[in-house]
Formats: sequence, structure tokens, C-alpha cells
Amino acid sequence: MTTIATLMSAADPAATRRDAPLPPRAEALLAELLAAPPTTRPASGSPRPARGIRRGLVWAAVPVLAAGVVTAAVLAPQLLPVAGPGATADYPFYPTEAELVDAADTIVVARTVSESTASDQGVAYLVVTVEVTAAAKGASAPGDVLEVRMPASEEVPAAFAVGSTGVLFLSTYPDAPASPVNPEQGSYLVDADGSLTASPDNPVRLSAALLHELGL
Amino acid sequence: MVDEGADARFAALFRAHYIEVQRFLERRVADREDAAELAADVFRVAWQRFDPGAPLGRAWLFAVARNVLGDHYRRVQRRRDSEQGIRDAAALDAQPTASVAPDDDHPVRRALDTLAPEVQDLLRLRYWEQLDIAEIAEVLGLSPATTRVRLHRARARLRAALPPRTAQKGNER
Repeated sequence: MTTIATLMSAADPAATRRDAPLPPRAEALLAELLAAPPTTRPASGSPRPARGIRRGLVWAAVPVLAAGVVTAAVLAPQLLPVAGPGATADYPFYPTEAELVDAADTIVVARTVSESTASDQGVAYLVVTVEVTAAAKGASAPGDVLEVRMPASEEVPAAFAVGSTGVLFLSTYPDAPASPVNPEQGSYLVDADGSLTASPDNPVRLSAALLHELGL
Repeated sequence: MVDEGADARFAALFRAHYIEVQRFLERRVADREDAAELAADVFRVAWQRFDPGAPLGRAWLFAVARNVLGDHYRRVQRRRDSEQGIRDAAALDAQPTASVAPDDDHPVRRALDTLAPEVQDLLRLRYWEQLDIAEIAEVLGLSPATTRVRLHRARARLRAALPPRTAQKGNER
């Protein structure tokens, strides 16, 4: 059956074999670069500046020393993937319970039973195993065990501490651990008396109807 | 001091991804010569920042390429602004703000071109650049979860924008 992937591939205006040989001009560029040592490379073994998705990234000024690398040296500070303070906070936010429920593939009450760490593409994750005790949406049922993954760099919500129980709003995937819909609204801690504690940044309070459905 | 190990690792990175980066740029600028020059800029920046001890991969290269491209777009816009009304205007109009040529009647590319730029970006990175979720997330500065959600929505939007007969063919992920 034809899929969006197939349609997109067929529409690719520059489809090519990835293993196509380098054009001569690329070979010449590589030789040019290797002949001109960079002026800004981090020293081997020294802490490297963060790249990509990091908070508070500041690039040092780039000295212009070698004529062969003038263009790159001038361009580097503005062209490197710089992430500002908001970069890791770019999650969808749901102002109402209805939108939060709609965004989640799975809504369960679950107890966190274990945690571990994992790395994917150089990004560290915390992976917790949770045991479902009640479900209101999705394919999970009481007794099921789910894995939930979140960036290790983010503050871990209290509901995901081992031994804690939470109402979890999860995005689930067929081939990967689930994840909270966002860091602030993906979980509500269920206290010992059955009351819920939301993240300080989460204004959404769960309705009696949903809590009833979850057995709370 | 020459670090031969670093040179070899950079050369391997270059050889593994140069073609992909150039194709990425060719898909987004009207002129292949411009794309080749931008690809050279991408790798000049990469060479400056290359850390042989760090796991830099193609996602980082594509992030650099997007920034190089953004800078190119801004230069084109500035030229367009400053040269409006003179003979180069027509040539500049062929530059990359539109991803689909006026005479391009490919139904999927026409539909793609009607979507918001950020939606197009997601679909192209996934299906043309063939980046995985984690790579797209790194390129766009999003979380993997957000990227999955947005990609899901992007597929739905493309499906809705396709002509009915084509859409029927693309009725799953």
C-alpha cells in the first residue's frame, strides 16, 4: 500500500544514492579544509562547548587568523546551531483538561517501580518502568508494565520517582518507550491520601469525571 | 599541531554526509551552484567546530546547514530589497523562497508547498533527508516526543492537502 513516505520519496526533486561518489569539487574542498587547521577547535580532552539542544549556550568569539578559513570563521558564531533558553522548553502546552486528554495517547494511573538511564544519539534519557493500576485512555490495562522515557537533563517529575504513583498523560509509540506529553503536564503525583499534586507550572486541574474513571 | 586522527575522522564525516548535505541544499535553493557553495560553507563551519572526541553526526551538520541556508535567504532578501526594479530582480525571484517552480505540476510537491513552512520542514527532513526522530529533534531543537507529535500532524496535513486520488494512496503513515 502506498504511504505518505512513498509519496514523499517519489516527490523528492533531488533523490540520489547516498553512496554516490563525491564530486571533484567536494574532494577539492576536503583537501583545502584538511590543509588549513581550524583556529577554533576545542582542545582534545577538554570540555567541549555544548551543541544543539542545550540551554544557555554561548559561543565564544571566533578569531580570524587564516585566510583559507576566513568565511567559516566569520560565519561560525551565527551559523552554529545555537539554542537559547527557550529551546528545550518548546513543548506543546495544553490549557484545558479536554486538550490535555486529547493530546495523550494513554492516560493511566501507574506506580513507578524502577528506573534506568539510556543514551540515544548522544542524548541521555531516564527510563522508568511503571505498573498500571487504572486506565482511562489507550491500550493499557491494569497490571500492564510500561516504559516511560524523558530527557535526563530535565527535572524528573515527582510522579516518576521510584515508589511514587501518578496520573500519567503519555504519548505512546509502537517501537519506543512512551513519553510524557510534556514535562509539566505529563504527570500528576497521587499522594497517599489519594489527592493529586500538579506541577507548579500546570494550571490544569483534573475533573471529577476523569478522576472517577481512574478510580481516584 | 596536526591531529591526524581528527583529520581522518573529519574526512570520514565529510565523505559520509557531503552528498546528503548538498542534496538538502539543492532541494531548498533554485540554483545548484548556490547549493554547492552553501555546502562548502557548511563544511567550513563544521571543520572549525569539529571536535574529534564528540559524537557529531549528520543531525548537527543539518542544523548547521539550516543556519547557513537561513543566512543565504536573508542575503537574498537583502539583495532583493536593495535591487528592486533593476534587471537582477527577475533572477532573484527565482531564488528559494518558493520551493516549487511555477510550472511544477507534481501533486505531492504542490500540496507540500501549500503547508506552513515548519510543516514542510518536518516532512522534508523525515522523508527527503531521511532523518530519524532523534535527528529531526536535534536539528529543530525540539524534544523527540514533540517531534513525533508534530510529524504525525504534518502527515495528516499533507494528506489533507493532497488531491483526492493521490490522498487515497497515502492513507497511512
